[in-house]
Amino acid sequence: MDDEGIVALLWQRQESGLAELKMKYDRLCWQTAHNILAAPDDVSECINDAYFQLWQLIPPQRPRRLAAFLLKVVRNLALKKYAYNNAQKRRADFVLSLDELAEIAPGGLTPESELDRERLPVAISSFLHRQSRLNRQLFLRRYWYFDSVAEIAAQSALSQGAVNVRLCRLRSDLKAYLQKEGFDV
Amino acid sequence: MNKKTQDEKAPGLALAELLGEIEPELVEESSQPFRAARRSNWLNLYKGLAAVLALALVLSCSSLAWAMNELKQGNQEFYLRALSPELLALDEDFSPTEQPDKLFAALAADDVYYQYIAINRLVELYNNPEQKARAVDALQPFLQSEEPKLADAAALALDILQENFQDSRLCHMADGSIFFTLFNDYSDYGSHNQIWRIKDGRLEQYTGFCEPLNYVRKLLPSPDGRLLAVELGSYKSNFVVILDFIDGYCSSELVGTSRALWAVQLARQGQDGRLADIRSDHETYCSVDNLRWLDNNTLAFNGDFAYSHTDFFDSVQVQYNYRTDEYLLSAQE
Repeated sequence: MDDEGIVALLWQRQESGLAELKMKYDRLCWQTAHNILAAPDDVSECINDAYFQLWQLIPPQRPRRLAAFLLKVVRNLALKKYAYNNAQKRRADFVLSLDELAEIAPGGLTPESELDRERLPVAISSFLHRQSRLNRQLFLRRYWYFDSVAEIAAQSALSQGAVNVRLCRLRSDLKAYLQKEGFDV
Repeated sequence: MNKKTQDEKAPGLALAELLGEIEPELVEESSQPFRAARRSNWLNLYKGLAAVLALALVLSCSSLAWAMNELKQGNQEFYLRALSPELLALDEDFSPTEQPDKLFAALAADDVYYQYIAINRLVELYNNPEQKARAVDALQPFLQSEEPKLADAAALALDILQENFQDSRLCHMADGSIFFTLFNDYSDYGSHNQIWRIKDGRLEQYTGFCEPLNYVRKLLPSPDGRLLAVELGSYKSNFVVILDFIDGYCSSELVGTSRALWAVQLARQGQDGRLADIRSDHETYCSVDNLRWLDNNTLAFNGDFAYSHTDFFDSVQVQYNYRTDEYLLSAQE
C-alpha cells in the first residue's frame, strides 16, 4: 500500500492502517532505533511507542512524507531512551557519532534553549542544501540515521577512509557555517 | 560510563535531537540509495549483458540500444545547487595562478566535485603558457568522462586553453574580445555568476554578481557585438543587465525597473494597487522569457511581474533602448 493510502486509513481511525504501516516500515524503524539503542527490548519498546504516538498524531496531523514523519518519531523516542540508559546499554558506534557531533554543537545548547531549537535545524537544513547530494546523504546517514562508517562505506562504494575524510570536512564546514550564522560554536 | 563522561556527551546528544527537526525532504532523500552504488550496479548489469551477447555471438542492435539507454539512465549527473565559496576554493586561501599544483591534485582526486571545480578553474591558468600546456594534457582524458558535466566542462576548457574558441557558449564581440562564464549550467538554475573576458590574448575576470543574482542564465551579444545582455537568476526571480564593455558601463537592472514602471503606467490608467514590493531576500518572483535584441541598441523580453506579495501577476512585453535609456512596455497578448 502506498503512503497516501496508509495515512488515509489512519486518518479514518482504521487499525488496519497501523498494520499496513508496520508491514511497510517495521524493518526501517528497527534499523533506526537499533542504531541508537543496543538492547533489543529497548528497540521493541521504542518502536511500539512510536506506532502509538503516530496513532495519536494522525489526525490531526496529515504528514506528506510518512516515512520521514514516522522515523523522526522513532528517532526522538530512541534518543530519549538513550539518555536514560546506563553506559552498558549504549552502542559504542553511536557514542562515537555523538562525540563527532559534540565537536560542532553550539555552546549553551540545551533543550530549554527555545531560540536555538528553532534556528538551528533551519540553519543546518540550509547548510545541507548547499552540499552535494552525496555529502548530504553521508552526513544524514551518519548523524540522522546513525549508521556506522563501515555501513555507509559499503552502501556508498566509498572507502571507510574516504567517508571519514568527507564527514570530517563536512563537520568543519558546518561549524564554520554555524559560526557565520551567529551560533556560538 | 561515569557522570562526567555523560555530561561531555550532552552537547552531542542535544544537537542530535535538534537534527531531528531538519526538513523531512532531506531525511527522505538521504534514505535513497547512494548514486555511486547505483552506478556500480548498472556497470555490473552492463558487464553481464556484454557476456551474454558474447556467448550468443549475436549483436542485436535493439538490445544494445536498450543497454545503452539503461546505462545512460544509471549514470545520473551529480547535483550542484550552489557553488559555495568554500567549494570553489578547494582549500583555504587558494589561488589557482599561485598554486596550480592544487588544481592538478584536485583533478586527480577520486571526487567528481573536486574534479569539476578543478576542470573549470584550470581555465584560470590561461595567461601562463607553461601551465596552460600542462592543463591541456591533464584535461584530455575528461573528454571521455562518463559524467556528462565533467566531459562538457572539459570540452569548453580545452576549447579556450587551446585557443580554438569554437564553442557556441563563447561570445565573440566587436572589439575582438571573448566573453564567457565557467561552470556552465552547473545547476538547474544556470551557470556561475562570474563573467570572464579574453582580450588581447589575456584572460581576466571581467565582472561578477552578488546575491540574489546567483546564476547567469544567458549571455546575449547585440547584433553589432558592442553590447552584451546578461540574463541572471536567483532561486525565484530573474534579472537582466546590459554590459557596455567598450565604454565601460553597465545598465541598471532592467526587470526591476520595468516592473516599477509598469505599475506606474497602470496606475495612470486607473489600475491602482500594484505594490512593487521587494522582500528582505531581494526575491521579486519576476521571471523573464524570450530575451532578444531587436536592433543594435534595443533589447526586448517577455516579463512576468509579481506585485503586492504576488497578489498580481502581469505578463508584460518590455523593450529597452540602451542608448536613449527608454522603456516601451505593453501587455502581452
